[in-house]
Amino acid sequence: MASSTPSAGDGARARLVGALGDVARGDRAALKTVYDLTAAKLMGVCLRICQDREAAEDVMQEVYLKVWDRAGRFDAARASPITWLCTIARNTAIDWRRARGLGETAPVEAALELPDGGPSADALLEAGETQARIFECMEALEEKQRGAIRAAFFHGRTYPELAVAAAVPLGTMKSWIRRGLLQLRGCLGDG
Amino acid sequence: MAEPLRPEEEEIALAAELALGLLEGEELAAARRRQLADPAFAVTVERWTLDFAPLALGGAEHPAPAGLWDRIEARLPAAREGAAVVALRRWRALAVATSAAAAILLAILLLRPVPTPVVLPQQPVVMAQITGTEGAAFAARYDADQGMLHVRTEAMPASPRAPELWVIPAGGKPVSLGLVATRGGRDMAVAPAHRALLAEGATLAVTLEDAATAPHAAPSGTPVAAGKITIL
Repeated sequence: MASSTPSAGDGARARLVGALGDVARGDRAALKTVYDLTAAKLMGVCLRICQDREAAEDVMQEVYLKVWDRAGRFDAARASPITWLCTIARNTAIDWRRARGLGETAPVEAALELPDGGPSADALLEAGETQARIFECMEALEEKQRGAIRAAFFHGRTYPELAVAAAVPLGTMKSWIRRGLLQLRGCLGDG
Repeated sequence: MAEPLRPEEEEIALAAELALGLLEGEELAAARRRQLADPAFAVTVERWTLDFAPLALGGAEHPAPAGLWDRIEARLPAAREGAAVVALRRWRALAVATSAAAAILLAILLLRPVPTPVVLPQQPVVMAQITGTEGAAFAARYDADQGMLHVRTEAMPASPRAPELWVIPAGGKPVSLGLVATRGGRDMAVAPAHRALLAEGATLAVTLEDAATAPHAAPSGTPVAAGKITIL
């Protein structure tokens, strides 16, 4: 296994990839390793979407049970391990919001208003995402489009919720975001 | 309002909306149906998901509470040391690989009551193809109200053995749902005890088994078709 120095980007990524491989073979200790390396990151993901600590903890349990079951499907050639795990956490948290009824999400608590700015160079390196073009492309969007897409990604907000929050008609919000999404696709490239 | 999008732009935008979770209600249901029915669209959605995923690295971390790991560990399948567990996980990995190799996501669509305000047509009939690497293809539909699984065999490799359908709960072991037809359709009543297994995240798989002794306690070979259950 590679270096265990936390700041050694490739080492952290390799350790996570190795641990996921062990989880796929049924190694419970390896799941604990994955948990130790990623729980704080995924807790942030769940908390931003659930806006409720207890719910976020329940969702976290589901997330790691899914990791236990799906680790064999992780493909290091297609995604970095931490972004793959974040995607599972995000989707599980969003499913929880939908199952609960979107309208019932509590108002955002100040304590849960976790920042969602750009990642540090260390974080990108650790994830092996040295060429995460999405950050540049998001920066190129107009503020209102960027803000809405961020709210959808980080907080799981839907069109109707975003329209209400911005006090604009639903059709206007859809039109803004769709234009922004097409601009993003143009920036990210097709291939 | 801005000018309407061209059809290809419409498809790209819809895929992004699905990947981001912007849609609700009937729009969401329709987009998910399309994702299952239209492989090119599914690829576009996947592409967006992968493109957006690194954004999560920008989110602040939050310490997980003490004791959370213990709660997770307590919910893992009981630790059973030994060859059986290893064999099971290998079998399950093969089941997943079978469907991945065929580049087909098996989709058994389970119909369940949809919470308001989602409005779906009455008695929606949704079917999906289940395809493996060895020329096996099945189409299935589950009627949760009746507890009936309707399975149609579209294609089957020539074999003296019979196709047996298994449900594998997330993290669990395969449970036989019985034999499906070698050719044509069969309605299978799902035992009440097994209905809860037909849930999102479970895998369905077909193996070839000795018909005379079915249903079996465990599969004897690798699956000829498999994939994950998806609920609309």
